[in-house]
Amino acid sequence: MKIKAFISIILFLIVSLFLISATKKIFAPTPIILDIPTNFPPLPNKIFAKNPLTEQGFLLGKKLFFDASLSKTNDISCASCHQPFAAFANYYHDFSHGVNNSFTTRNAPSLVNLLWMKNWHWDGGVNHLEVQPLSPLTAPNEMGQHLDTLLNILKQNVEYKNMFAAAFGDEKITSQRMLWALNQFTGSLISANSKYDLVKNGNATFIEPEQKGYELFKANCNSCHKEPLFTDNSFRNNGVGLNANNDIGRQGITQIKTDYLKFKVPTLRNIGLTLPYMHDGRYAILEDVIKHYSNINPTTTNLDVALTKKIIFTEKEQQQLILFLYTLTDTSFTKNKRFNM
Amino acid sequence: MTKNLLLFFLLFICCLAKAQQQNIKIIFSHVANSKKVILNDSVYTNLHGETYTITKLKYYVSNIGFVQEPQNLITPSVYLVNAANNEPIIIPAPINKFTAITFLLGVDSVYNYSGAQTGALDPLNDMFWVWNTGYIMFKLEGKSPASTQYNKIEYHIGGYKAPYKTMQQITLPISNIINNTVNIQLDVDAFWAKNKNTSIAKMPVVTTTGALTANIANNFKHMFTIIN
Repeated sequence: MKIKAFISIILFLIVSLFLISATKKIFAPTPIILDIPTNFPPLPNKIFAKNPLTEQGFLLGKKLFFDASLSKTNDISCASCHQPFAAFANYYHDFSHGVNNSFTTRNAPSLVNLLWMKNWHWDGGVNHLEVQPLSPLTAPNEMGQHLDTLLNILKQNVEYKNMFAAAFGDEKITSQRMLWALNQFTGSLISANSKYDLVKNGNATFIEPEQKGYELFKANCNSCHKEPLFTDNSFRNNGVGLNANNDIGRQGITQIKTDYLKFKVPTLRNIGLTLPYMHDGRYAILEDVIKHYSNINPTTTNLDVALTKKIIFTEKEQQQLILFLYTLTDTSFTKNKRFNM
Repeated sequence: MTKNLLLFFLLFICCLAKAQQQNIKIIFSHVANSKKVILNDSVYTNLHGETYTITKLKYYVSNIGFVQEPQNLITPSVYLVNAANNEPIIIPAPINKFTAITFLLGVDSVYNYSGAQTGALDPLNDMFWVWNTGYIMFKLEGKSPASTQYNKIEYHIGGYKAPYKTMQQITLPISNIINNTVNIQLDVDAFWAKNKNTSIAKMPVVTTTGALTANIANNFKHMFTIIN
């Protein structure tokens, strides 16, 4: 008798569990398989291991990226300083504009091929792409927002509620989910379809000055701006010296003396669109950058060894080098509707 | 039939084992100058004769363990202790008698480089550095006339990388447990080591990683005692 009762209780539990699961909508977001360029090195991190890349997560991240209502004053979005047409750098701005007419203290970097980095920001202070957005979202001279206020803004928005549910299975809005969605968008920003890439893949040819420029590049620039990412993602002191912000770069993160004035080597991909140049945007045009490398004082404190010998170009060589650098512009990336609002 | 009986027997054993497991309540309390810490209220005097009040006192406690035979039991969870609410930590404890309680003051290094976290580790808890990724292991804020920085004191002690690691392994011997409760007291006086360089006048604000921060963290092991 007792066993019969026990069996019927078990049966009842099984049936009710089945009914509950049948009434619940099945959560099945559309997975995205990231298109990794064949000529790129393997990814250094498993960034989407815990945060699987899906169409719904990507679209939510894109909406967040372009949404100015995330900022304290409702007027600055991530895209304000990372503009798609400028390869997600800030066109023609040495420093960018934060809330309440403030300035940032460094030049907004181009957001491309972020998955191939091991740390982010000019000083490498951010050690995981997921947590990077916390910096610009909360900095008083960027988007100036408190994290709890920001999450409340999202929670009160029906569209966001629906998009979080579509991306993560329910309407719960948390800092982790917000950061995961943003990571899905920024991690997807891969630029690998410039003329340079077409030439490398045998689908185009350089004109003669571009080819000459490429050779000059390989002989003089490739040790730091390493192909095919056009950066080795290392930190180096390139001799520009201390600026008015007293920005010591990498040393501020590591507290190591020999990291004084070291900054992350930026990618040269889309360099024709990411002006002005250097960590503080001090050089408006490429000619100025090249001139800098011909005029470095070799006794500069902590200067990178690769730069102790001056790099001198003739005027013609300079033009050839710049023509080559323009072949790194990837308009199929900057004009991609998928990355634009 | 015999199968069902076996199932019942197994269930019975499971229930029995469960019943023998107890919960241990760990209560962190905070004193300064032998006075109970009341945020935004009492005035304390440190070892250097400087007066101060406390507005925030928060810290991470993780990997709580019980030293016992035959094997120590460690719970790999992270808790945020906040003097503003003094919520006790409740964890399943061993049935055996234990001789000491151990914990890590701070957050295990792996959490410092693993991206967006939830719960006690949610950046919403205001214990996360966004400009130099990592958790603030211990936070003490307040006001003091001895401070040259707007009369504010602000200690955000963090850093998970050698040589400036700030996490500290703490071991506290324990003799008797009453009502399954362990009372641990943090004495803020111990924050000011008996060394002139740690006075408020000398260091009112410490909010970056480095040698000074690591040195302050070294002192943490003298802050805790069992008051059962």
